[in-house]
Amino acid sequence: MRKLIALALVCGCMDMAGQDKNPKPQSLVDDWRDEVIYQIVTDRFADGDVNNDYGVDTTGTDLTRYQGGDFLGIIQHLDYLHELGVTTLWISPIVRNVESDANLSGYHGYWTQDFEHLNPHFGDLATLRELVAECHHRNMKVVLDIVVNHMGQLFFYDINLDGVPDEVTIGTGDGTPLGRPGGSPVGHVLEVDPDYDPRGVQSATSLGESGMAPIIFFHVPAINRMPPAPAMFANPDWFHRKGRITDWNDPQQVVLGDFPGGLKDLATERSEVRVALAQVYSYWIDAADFDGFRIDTVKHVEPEFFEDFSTRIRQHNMARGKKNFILFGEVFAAPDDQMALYTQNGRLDSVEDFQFKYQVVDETIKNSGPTKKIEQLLGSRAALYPSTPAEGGITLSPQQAFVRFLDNHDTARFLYDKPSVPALKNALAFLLTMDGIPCIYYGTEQALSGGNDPANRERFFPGGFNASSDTFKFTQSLLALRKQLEPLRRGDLNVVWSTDHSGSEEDAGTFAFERSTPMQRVLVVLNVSDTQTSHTANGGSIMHTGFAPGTVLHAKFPEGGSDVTIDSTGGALVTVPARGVLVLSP
Amino acid sequence: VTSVLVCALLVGGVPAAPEGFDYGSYGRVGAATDLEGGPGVSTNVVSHGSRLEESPYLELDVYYGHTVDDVRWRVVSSLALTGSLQHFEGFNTQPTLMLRNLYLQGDGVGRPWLSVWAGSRMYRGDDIYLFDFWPLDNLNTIGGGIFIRPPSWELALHAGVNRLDDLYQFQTVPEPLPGAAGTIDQVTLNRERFIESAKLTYFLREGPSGAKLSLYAEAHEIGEGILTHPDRTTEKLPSDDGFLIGAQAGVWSPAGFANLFVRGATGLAAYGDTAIPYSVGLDKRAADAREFLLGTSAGIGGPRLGVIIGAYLRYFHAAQPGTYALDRYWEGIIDARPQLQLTPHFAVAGEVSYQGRSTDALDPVTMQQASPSVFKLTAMPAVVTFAPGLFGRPQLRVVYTASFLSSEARSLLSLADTRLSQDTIHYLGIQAEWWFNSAYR
Repeated sequence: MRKLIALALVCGCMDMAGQDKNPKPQSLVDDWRDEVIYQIVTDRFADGDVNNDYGVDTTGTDLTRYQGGDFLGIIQHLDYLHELGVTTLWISPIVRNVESDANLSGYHGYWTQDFEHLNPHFGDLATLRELVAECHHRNMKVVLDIVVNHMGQLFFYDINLDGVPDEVTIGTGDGTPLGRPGGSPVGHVLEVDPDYDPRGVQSATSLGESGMAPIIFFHVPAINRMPPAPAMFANPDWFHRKGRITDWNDPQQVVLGDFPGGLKDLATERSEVRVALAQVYSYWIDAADFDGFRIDTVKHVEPEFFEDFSTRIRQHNMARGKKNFILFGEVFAAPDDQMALYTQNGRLDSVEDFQFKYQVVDETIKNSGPTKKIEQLLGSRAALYPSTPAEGGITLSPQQAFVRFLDNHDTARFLYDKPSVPALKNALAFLLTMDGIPCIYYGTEQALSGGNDPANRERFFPGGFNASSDTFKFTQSLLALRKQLEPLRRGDLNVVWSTDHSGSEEDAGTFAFERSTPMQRVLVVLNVSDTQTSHTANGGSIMHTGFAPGTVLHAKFPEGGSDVTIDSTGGALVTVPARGVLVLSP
Repeated sequence: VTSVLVCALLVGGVPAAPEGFDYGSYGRVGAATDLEGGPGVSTNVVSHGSRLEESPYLELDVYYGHTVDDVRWRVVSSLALTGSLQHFEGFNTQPTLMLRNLYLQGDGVGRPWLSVWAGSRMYRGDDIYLFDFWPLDNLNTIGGGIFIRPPSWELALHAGVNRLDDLYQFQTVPEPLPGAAGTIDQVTLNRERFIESAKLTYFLREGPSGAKLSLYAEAHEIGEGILTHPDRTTEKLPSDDGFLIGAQAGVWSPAGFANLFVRGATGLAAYGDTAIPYSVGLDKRAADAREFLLGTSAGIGGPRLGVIIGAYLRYFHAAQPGTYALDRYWEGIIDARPQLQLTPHFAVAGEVSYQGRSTDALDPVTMQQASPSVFKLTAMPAVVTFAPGLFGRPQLRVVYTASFLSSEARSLLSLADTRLSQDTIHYLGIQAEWWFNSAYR
């Protein structure tokens, strides 16, 4: 009856096609090495709907606050990104966050309050689905940034048992406040973010300790500092409750401590927490058909967690017929052996390559350092990272699937450290011709130059989308070349020239490598020197390649470059101007 | 059944007013329970739902009429009160007091067919009574206008302004008081919305029966302004405008009346005269807002049995650029209130209605498509009328309504009141409604 009346009422006019159902899973990736990731901080990229600009900074200068970017803004600029040539978007976390904390806003998305609902600043689920669908329509994929290590500042440690979040000053005068021998006689403790205690944060008064401090979830709707959601997360046992990391060299603290800012560390070793996290993030795969997860603060989670979590995510995808879903993690600033841990035993498909960032981009390219360091880094990894793909993961081994980047939302931009566009182009050329999965931080193609967080999270709109700018065109042409030449994407990498020289020597700054498939071989030669034209020879020694003698190599990049002929010994003398790059193939 | 009053409303003519002071009033008040221990509450999910669950409202009208040299002058003032009743919420509560009508009109100024007026006025045409809704024209401005009433025609022209007490139009910012301690509220935003309207009606009268056809147009404009944020940064508010066109066809006879309304609006006009554009485009303007409405009202019956009918179908989308916004929807309602007159002063009545809204947007809580609907059945087993007919007022009535909510309606309504998360919501109450010599005529 009701349906009949409804039908009569609306005369069919109300049957508006919408994004009201989970999209059909798509598996668009053949080989993740074909992909070029473009990292977006959603709040900063583009404001497509001013109506969700709640509490935004209207000046565009206070980068600690929301700026207004949203899903619709990204949708409106997909053609720009498609024209640039990137193939995968990595979008910042989407779930509902604590609105603000200590005069900072949760625009970045890493302060989860509710795992199952969207941050209203960015738009609704229908628009998110539209975003992913529009990307898929352009054969672009979307990787979602997720957090499993912690939630936002959702509770305080009631150290003095008075039920309110204080700044507590306590002490017995005997040098053992809070039970820490050697401590000062008077302790000053912020109950929202106390220091790490291996026993768990202890309650204490001036008379002494009273055991584990109870935690009390906040209830401040105005800034969405509310108990964790879904409700199963509002369980004190699901958090480590050991306080904030104070010693970053203490592995226990790094894994069990709260992240600075009072971000409460989840007890990810508990099976029910693992199940719950896999469950909430599986929900988002279904809800929007994401193509991968970038996982935040992986270094602060025990590696074994990912054997469980990744398996659950992979099984979930397998059951739905979704293939090649990538899982890569942020092991921030970690050495190779620590990063590699997270790729072993099928844990993650890949990691963000921080060693490439520090050793290659920062030390070598920015500083025109000896390129021998690059060769050493690349040569050292086979022993650390698995050479076979994770079961049920992407079809590439961790050795093949490093996510490489010049800068990101946690580091100063390339041009801040090295204010030289030729150097940036030099680095981009290296990034986009070497192996792995390149990742470009939004705005790099427009030569943004912000310093450390939050200056590196510039508001990109409204004027950022200049498809005729010099760096845009440069990036675009390299992306087109990578797309055109299969070896640049899938080929093996073999270093054929590197040097210890970084001064005025004839080969100073040069680095050369081949990318080869069974069908095709490409030679890439770079010069990281700021000032000197160099060539691939030194002291009578000349670069040798895998090309047959007499092969004539034509310049694929830049256009109009000179041909190079392989001499009778297989040697090739390639001259590259300062900060130049040559891509050559027969 | 249809009262003389209703006929007068439809004809649009102004009955001769007495000389000197006279008074009028419209009012409604009631007490209700949800049978769960709480007060009876509204379960409407459309913009203009059933009026049976409306909150108390009172208008007190004071008039003064005088005729000089064949020109009939009349001062109209209406004081309106709404909101709290002290006998319900306690003696510390205050109702909202509003000054609505406050105008002077002269009929027969210069020409017998010319009327002029100026002041603050509720300026509107015919309503859909069941929804307390004026589907074609309903303006509330301070301004002035003229009526030109040659035989069989009426042309109404009006221009007015409003300046709502909202940050869209008005803002003060505290500043140090020059030369003294303390602060002064400095006006930094103060922009008026200009509204002009024109309505042309042709009447065809045949004894007690007749028909009319109206064409209507409305324009809204607002100038630029500067909004100051709490951090003292400023934001330019652009100028904006909007337009509305519509039409009405109506017929009446001793057996009843029927009206058909249609209108379309863009920009500011799509939101209404006293609403700010709460969703705007990237340029912060309302230009992309749209409204289309098709509505009808009717009252038909004989001496014992009659029925009041109302229905509308409305498409609205606010100016936001997204496809899936909650402010982009179709909505509609169909409602009928039959009444059986048992004695000259006692009747029984009922009401049945279905209302729904459809949008592509997803409910932010359930993540499902937000298309709420409500089916309502009302019984009014005791209607005491002090004047005959469907629209005879004053009226006392006992009202019981069962509202059957769809899951989406439960989700939507429970955001405002957790008790509305049930499948069925009850409303049992006693109500009084009256109008006499009301300013609405």
